[in-house]
Amino acid sequence: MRFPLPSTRGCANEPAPPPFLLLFLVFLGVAAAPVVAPNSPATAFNTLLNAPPPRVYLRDTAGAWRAPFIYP
Amino acid sequence: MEQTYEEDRQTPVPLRWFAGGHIVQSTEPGGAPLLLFGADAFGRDVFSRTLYGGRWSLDIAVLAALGALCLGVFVGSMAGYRGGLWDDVLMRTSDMVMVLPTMYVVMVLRAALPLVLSSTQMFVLLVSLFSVVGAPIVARAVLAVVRSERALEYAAAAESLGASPLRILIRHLLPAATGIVLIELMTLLPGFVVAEATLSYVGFGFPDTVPTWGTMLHEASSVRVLADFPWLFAPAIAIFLVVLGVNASIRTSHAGLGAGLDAGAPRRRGAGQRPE
Repeated sequence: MRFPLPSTRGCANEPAPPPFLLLFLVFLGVAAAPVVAPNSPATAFNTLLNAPPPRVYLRDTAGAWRAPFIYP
Repeated sequence: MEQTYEEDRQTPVPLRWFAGGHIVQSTEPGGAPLLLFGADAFGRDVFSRTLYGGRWSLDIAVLAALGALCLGVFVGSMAGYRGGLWDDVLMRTSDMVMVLPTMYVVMVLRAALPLVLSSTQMFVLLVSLFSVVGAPIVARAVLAVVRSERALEYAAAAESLGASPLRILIRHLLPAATGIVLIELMTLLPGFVVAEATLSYVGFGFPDTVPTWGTMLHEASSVRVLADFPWLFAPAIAIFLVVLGVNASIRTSHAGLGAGLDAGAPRRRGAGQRPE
């Protein structure tokens, strides 16, 4: 006869559920904004009004693998 | 005037990691910037503004929720413990705040004050307003718990042994409301995030120069933006993630807190223990 395993909910070893992880990541990103954000929020790039997000590439036009880069 | 952008495939710009005090950048200051979420109408980095804006929005939400918690616990515990006239005055006042449409109350209160306020003044004002508006929700929950717990034997025993009302409240009655108070806290949090965004969106919140999620959405308030510059809605996605995360956490917390309270109930109520 097989018995169901006891629930591990609330145990210390239980992994953090995704909602808490999501919240943690958002709060961490916001708290560490000066480090995570690549630019100052007040800096205006006058030549890039309404510029779309750049694509981050790993392969150049010749097809060679490189460290992550963007095209301006 | 509409600009079109094309990639210059001749000059790849490598990303620089952990340089200049940032995790990632593209070039030296003045070169081609890394605009992960694009730029707004003034050429400002949307990704950076979303992160910095979250500081204002989340700070307001967390502090206002804590303020509402303190005020609500005070009102609810006083009304529940004292009863009688205290209960009537405090809870009818709370009811009066609760029956009014919250968002309109906040907007009217905000409109009654000077339109131009500094960022700090606006921060304090919004935290205060949200705390007052959110407190009755907490107060009602605390009142119910304190009133029902006070009728139990362990509270009467503590009282008969000479424990002061403050000690009875803090040591015996309020711990029973911990679970429901935490749930209320997590319920208020996303509401205040959305409330700040709504107020700033309609122009009653922070000025446009201050990056908050609400002011950023205010700048994106046209149909054309939705079609042509959808990256300006990054703050809306951030709000969505926070609200979704908190609400999903409430579901998880419900089960955990419920199990914890059930397990703690006999001990909390003094079974097998001498009341202090």
